[in-house]
Amino acid sequence: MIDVDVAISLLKQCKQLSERDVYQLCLQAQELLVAEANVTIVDTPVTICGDIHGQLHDLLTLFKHAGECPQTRYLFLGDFVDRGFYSLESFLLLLCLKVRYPDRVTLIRGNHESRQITTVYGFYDECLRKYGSANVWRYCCEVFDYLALGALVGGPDGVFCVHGGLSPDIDQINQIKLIDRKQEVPHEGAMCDLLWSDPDTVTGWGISPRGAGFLFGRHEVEKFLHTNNVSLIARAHQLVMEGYKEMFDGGLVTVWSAPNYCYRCGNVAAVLEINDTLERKYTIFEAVLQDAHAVPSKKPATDYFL
Amino acid sequence: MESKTVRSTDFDALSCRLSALNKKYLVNDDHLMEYIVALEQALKFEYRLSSRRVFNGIVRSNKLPIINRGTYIRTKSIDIVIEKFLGQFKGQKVRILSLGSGSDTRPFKLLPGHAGTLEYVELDFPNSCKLKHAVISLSKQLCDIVGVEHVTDDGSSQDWYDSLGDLDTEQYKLIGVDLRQIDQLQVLLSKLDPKVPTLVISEAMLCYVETSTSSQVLKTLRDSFPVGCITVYDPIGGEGSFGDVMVENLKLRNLTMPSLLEFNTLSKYHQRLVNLGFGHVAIDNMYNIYENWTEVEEKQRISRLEFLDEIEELKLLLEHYCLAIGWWGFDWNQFELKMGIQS
Repeated sequence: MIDVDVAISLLKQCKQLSERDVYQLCLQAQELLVAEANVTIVDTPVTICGDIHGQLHDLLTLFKHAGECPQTRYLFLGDFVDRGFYSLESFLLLLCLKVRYPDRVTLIRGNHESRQITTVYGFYDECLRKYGSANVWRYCCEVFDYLALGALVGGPDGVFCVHGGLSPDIDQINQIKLIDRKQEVPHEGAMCDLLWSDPDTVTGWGISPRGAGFLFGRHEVEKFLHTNNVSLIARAHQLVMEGYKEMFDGGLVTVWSAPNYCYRCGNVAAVLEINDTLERKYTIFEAVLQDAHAVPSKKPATDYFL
Repeated sequence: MESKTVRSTDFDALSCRLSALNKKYLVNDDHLMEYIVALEQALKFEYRLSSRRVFNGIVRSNKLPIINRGTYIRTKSIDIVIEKFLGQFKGQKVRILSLGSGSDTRPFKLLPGHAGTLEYVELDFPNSCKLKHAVISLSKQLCDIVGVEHVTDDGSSQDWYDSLGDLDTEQYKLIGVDLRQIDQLQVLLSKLDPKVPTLVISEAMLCYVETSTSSQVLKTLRDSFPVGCITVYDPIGGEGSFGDVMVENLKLRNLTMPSLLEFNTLSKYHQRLVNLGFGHVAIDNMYNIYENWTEVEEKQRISRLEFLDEIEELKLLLEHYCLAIGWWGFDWNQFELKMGIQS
């Protein structure tokens, strides 16, 4: 059996696990995740984190700033993989923490936790490069299918957490519970929208420039908050240069946790702590210096137009 | 900075254009594939044992959707300026003067339709010109367009390659020069007929040159032609940390962009060109240019080509590149191109 503590320590040093260990870890994680509801209930206090995108060194910085696991309870809003250099290590570290401390870590699904998207944005190539076959990628994708779609923090008047945003098909959180989530992210429908939509200044619903999900405006957010007796929608999905951005008089917040995104954007990152009285506390952090070990020698894709 | 390092950026740009062509962002560029086929042969003479690796680096690099979109608008916007310029002087003799043109295939696209009126002049490092000369010579199609003799695989050899110099035909000139040597540039420009209205293209070229030198290059060009236009595509550092990060990232490739943080905003870049004596200057960032210059149907076509998740990143990236147009000695009949700053 895999020794999870050893695996955690290896991954924190950015070292590779054996294919066999990855397989076992993924199986164990699936067993845990299958028991979770589509919208999983999370206790306070909890620290909510946005996109990570394979920036392992920045994820370790996040833990340094916001507290190590299990001392701090964490909720990650998806997009663990793609774009960064260490998608696999980042995702497996979070998975190890989930398996080791199931009540202290919640992982929900982002739009990048999908077979189709990871073949375009780097995770597939990374697995292939590191293991010479797509097996590890396949094991991880199986886990993706079991990730919850959302979370509810703090009971009545609490926080609804989701990767992307709202769906015109969903008025009540209860409706999300009816989705059969154990599948690849579909191209349309409620499950797709929850992972792809963005808040916007539109009135009502708008067409998303991403080609999936919708744009939703203030009115939709206020209606959703009221109907579901929550005070905040916490979501990720969009790069925010300042790390977080509240909209609609604080009814919605975007949390972004990948500093200097893609090692290029120059943004800071943030996490949001919700305490027992549902107060919000944002912690801002910056990227680790891009030193020799943060950048692999074989650097993928052109970053700039030269 | 060494010319070799700067030259390598041409292969990046070529690789991006190829990716954008394969994904159908760019269409109607048959010459690019033709160029690639001949390039594979020509690279053997320059890179010898490592030519395979260099070639694969160019052709086997899948670009992300944001890079494909950025390449599309960079290529397309300059094409549009060229089209406007050729339209402005329709029927007259005109010249396109391309700085650091590298593997650009525009001359092969443009020359056939403008026989007798268009003179296309490309300036680049002598080694880049040698490579391009070889590529053209090895392709019958490109030879026919430019008007030089085709060289078969059998006819090519290391000695043949080493002996290649500039190319000079009725319509097309490929001239090797280090543009930083201003006196050499002046001599070279003095050989061109100044009466011919000239469109200068600087596509990701000036950014690699020390500011004082690039300003001299611009001034020299401005003073060489009484009627002319220059279109510049360059990165701009911006006011946030994007530019600082870019400087650090480029260091990993030993690349420097001396003017990136100096002319870091559209208004500073605009003022720079105004100060250098370009009578009229218009400038905008590539995000706005994509938004404002692309027809609705074309935008729909582009959006269907690939799933683009990184909307915010695309905007951020394209906002840090600009297209500037400066012109003097004539008034555009119609300049309906929308640009943020115009004077």
